[in-house]
Amino acid sequence: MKKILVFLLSVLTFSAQAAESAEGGEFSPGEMITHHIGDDYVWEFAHGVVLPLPVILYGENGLDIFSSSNFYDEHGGLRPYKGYVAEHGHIYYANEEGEPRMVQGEDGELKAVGPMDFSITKNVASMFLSVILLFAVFLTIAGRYKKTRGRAPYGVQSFFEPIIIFIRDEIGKANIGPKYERYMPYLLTIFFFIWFNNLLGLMPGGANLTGNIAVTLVLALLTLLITVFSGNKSYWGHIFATPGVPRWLAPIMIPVELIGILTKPFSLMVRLFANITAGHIIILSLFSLIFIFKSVAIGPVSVAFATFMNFLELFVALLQAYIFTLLSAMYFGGAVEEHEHHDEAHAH
Amino acid sequence: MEPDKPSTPPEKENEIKPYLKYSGLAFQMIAVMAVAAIGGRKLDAYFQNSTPWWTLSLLIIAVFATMYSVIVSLTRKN
Repeated sequence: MKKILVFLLSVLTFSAQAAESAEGGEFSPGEMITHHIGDDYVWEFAHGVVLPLPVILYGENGLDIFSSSNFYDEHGGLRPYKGYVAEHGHIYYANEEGEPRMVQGEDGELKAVGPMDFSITKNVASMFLSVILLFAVFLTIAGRYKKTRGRAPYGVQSFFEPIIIFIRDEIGKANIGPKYERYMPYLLTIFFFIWFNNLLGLMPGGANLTGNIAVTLVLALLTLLITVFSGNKSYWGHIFATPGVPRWLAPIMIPVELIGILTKPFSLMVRLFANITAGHIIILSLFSLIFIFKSVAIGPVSVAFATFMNFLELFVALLQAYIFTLLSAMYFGGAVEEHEHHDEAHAH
Repeated sequence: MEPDKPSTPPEKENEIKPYLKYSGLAFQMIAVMAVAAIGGRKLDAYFQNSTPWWTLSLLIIAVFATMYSVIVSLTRKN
């Protein structure tokens, strides 16, 4: 246990040192934090332990695939390669001086231009890893159910069965109603995808996938599409002719309700992104305190708080997966619900 | 997994559910007012008004519309 703790601490503090050396002695917490929560073309597990990832570009030179290690010289500095240059997490076309090529945009502002970027970045690699992990875990479980039909679950199966049943009964059945079954594959998938990726993001050297707004955007978009396409007559009736609202108010109420359709998944997107990113920033800030104060008095306090925050984040990882799934289920429930109170609306 | 059984009594309602239902409300209010403000500014620029009547009236309508829609959804059963 002690060894693991020492290892974890050294790994985490090593990466903070990396930020210090890059700045030439002056430690910049903001730079260290943005470097840690952002996406990257390489996967830095710890200081000096770097996995270069493939860069896939499509643009004026056609398709280009090469290792991102070509962008770094032996001192870790950036250099142009094949007419491309990497800067601030983006790849641009390089000009003669090896700097991003600037082109005047329509609004007269100079903009750096780059090819379409399909690179396997740190976040993409982490997502592939989580998908492999999810397939491994759930194919094992599915196989067990086939093999031991009617018998008690064992091993990894007995760990996940209560969670799957909880999602089915407390999230699916409770919020969607009798039509819950067709939404179960989606609900289970997003729950475990978000939970696994939140946990992978908390690992030392892990990527911050669910703290990337593009990832949460896609998840929220899927929820929006499923809600809109499973909306029944009563769901659309509530949007275009809300019961209990006078007809002459419709021109005002319809835009409000239509905006409401979009803001529901928008809040899902922001909630997951902000919670996960905030957690990462807090933990990294606590570590930064050590390097700012360089004092024995601050060190233990910072480590204690960071440990506490890490435990809290383990809970948040589960909670955010639960909330995303629950709210998605509630939106689906609202879309397929059969309302019985049309007569009631006529009564008064 | 064991077959579907009539588990979980339907009366066992989640206590946090009513709160979660309105968790996206702030975003809806912000979005409605933002749309009203941006649309109003565009219209005022188009008609070259010296007083931004479009922005003012659309924003006031947006404020009352969001409040009204919240009240309707809160008092609505189920």
